[in-house]
Amino acid sequence: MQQLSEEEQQKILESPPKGTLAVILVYAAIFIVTWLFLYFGRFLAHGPVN
Amino acid sequence: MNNNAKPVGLALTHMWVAFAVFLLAAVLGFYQVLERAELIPALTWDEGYYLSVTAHGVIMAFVFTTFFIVGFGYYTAATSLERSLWNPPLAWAGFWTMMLGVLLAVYALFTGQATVLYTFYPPMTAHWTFYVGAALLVVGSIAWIVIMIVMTWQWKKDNPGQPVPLPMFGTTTNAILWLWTLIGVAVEVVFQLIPLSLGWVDTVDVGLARTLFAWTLHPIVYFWLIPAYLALYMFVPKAAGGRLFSDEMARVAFIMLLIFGLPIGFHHLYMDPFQAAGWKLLHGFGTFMVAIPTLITGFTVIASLELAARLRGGKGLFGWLKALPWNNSMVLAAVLALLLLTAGGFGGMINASYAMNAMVHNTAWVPGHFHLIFGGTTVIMYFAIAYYLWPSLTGKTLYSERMARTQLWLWFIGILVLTLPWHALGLMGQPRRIASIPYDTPLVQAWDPYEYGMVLGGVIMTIAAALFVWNLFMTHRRGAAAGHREVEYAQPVHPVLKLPGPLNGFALWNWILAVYMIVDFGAPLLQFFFIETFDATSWGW
Repeated sequence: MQQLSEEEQQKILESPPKGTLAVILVYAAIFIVTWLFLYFGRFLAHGPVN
Repeated sequence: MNNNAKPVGLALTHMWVAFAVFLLAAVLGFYQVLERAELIPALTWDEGYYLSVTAHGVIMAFVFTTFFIVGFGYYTAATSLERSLWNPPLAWAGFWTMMLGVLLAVYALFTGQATVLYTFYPPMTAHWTFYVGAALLVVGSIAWIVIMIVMTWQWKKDNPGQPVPLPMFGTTTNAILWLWTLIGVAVEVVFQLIPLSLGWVDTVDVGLARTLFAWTLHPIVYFWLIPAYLALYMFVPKAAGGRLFSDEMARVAFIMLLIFGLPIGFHHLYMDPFQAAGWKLLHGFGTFMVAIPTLITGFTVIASLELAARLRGGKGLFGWLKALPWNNSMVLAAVLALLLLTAGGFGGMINASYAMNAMVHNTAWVPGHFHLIFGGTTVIMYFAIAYYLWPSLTGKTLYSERMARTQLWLWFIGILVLTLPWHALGLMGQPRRIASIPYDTPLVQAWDPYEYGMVLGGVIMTIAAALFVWNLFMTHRRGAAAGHREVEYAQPVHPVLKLPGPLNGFALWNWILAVYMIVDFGAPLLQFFFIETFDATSWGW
C-alpha cells in the first residue's frame, strides 16, 4: 500500500465516486438487457392466454 | 470497552444454536435436491421429501435467522453503545423460551406430524406442538425487541441531541420491523392454526389465513437482510481500509426498508382469488419501492469500497477494483453478496411484476429466487459476520483465514450452480414444492440435466456449510488465546454531529407505518368478516 499524505487522503475521500457510477451503469445495462429478453423473449412469446 | 461488560456468552450461545441448526438444514437441503433428481432410487421417498422441505424451511427461515439476528443484535448493542446490556435475565428468558419453542416444533417435524411446508397455509395442518413451538419462538424474540428499544431510548436520554450510533440505529430498525412483521403470522397462528390443530374448530377461512401470512411473508425477508446490510455499512468499509461513504444514506435506507418493506405482501397473492386486483396493484407498486433502499445500499457500499481502494493506490474507472484487499474475508463476502443481490434482485423484479408473475408463479423459479437472496446475499454476510466476530467473542484468532476465503468462494459458486438451473426449470414450467413428477414425457425428461446441475450445487454448498461450522468450532476449541479483539465500526467520511429528528428516531415512522398498514391491509382483512362464505368461517367458530 502506498503512503499518502493527510492532504492526499482527504482529496481521495472528497472525490466523487466515478468508479462506483461506472459499475452501477454496467449493472443497469445488464439488468435492462436481461429484462428485455425475459419480457419479449419469454413472457410475450407465450402468447395470449386461451 | 471492558470485555466483561460485553454479552459474550449470550451472543455465542445464540449463534452456536443458529449455526448448529443451519448445518442440519443444509444437509436436509442437499437431500431434497437428490430426492427430486431421483438419482438414488433408495432416497426417493415422497413423505420424507415433504418432511425435509418443512424442516429445512422452518429451520432456515425462522430458527437459524432468529437466533443469529438476536445474538448479533445483543452484541452490536453493547459494543456500539459501549454500555452493558440492559436486563440480561430478560434476554436469557427470551433465549430459553425460543429454545422451548424449537424443541416443540422439532418434535412435530421429526415425528412426521408437520409436513406442511414452512408457509403456514391451511387447510394443511400440523400437530399443535408445531404451532405452539412457532408461537414460543416469536414470543422469545420479543424480549430482544424490548431490549433493543429500551437500550436505544436510554442512550438517547443520556446523550440528548447526539446521533444514535449507526449500528444501533440499524439494529433497532430491525427490532421494530420484526415487531410489525410478526403480527400477521402471530394472529394467524393464535386465532386460526392452534385452535384448528387442537380440534377446537373444524374449519377456518384460508383466505384470511393467507392474507395474514402475506403480512409477515415479505417483511421477514428484510428482517433477515438488515443484519447483512448492517455488516455492509459498518464492517466492510473499515475492513477494506476506508470509510463509510455516507452515514445519513445508510439511515435513509434502513428507514425506507422499514416503511416500504412491510405493506407489500400481496405480491405473494397475485394469483389468489380473494383479493381484488386494485389491492394487489397497490402492493405491487410498494414492492418496487423497496428497490430504492437496496440501490442506496449498493451505491453507498460500492462507493465506500472505491474510496478504500483508491486510498490503497487504486486507479481508473474500473482498475480500483484490483486494489481491494481480496484476501480479507469481510471484503470478499461483501463483493460476492452484492453480486448475488443483483441477480436475486432481478428475479424479484419479475416476481413483483403483476403480469410477468404469471409466467413464474408457483414454479421452480420462486425458490431459485429466494435462495439467491437468502442463501446468497444474506447467509454469505452472516458467514462474514461470524468470521469477524469470532475472535472478539472467543478471544482466539480464527482457526483458518484461508479456509474462510475458500468457504466463501465455494458457497458463492455452489449457490449459482444450484439456483441458475432452478430459475431455468421455473421458466420451463416445473412446479415447485412437489416431491416428484412421475410422468415419463419429453417435457419432464428435459428437466433432468438441470436437476443434475442442482445436485452438484447442493454438494458444493453442503461442503461449504460444513467448512464454515468446522472453522468456527476449531477456533472455539483451540487452546491459545490471543485476547478479545475489539469490534471496530467504520467511520463515515463526514462525521455525523447532528441529525434531524426523523433520522435519529422512530416515532414519526411508526405513525406513518400504522397508517400505511391500515390502508394496505385494513379492507382486505376486514372483508373476510363481512363477505358471505360457504362452510368456512373467518376464525373458525
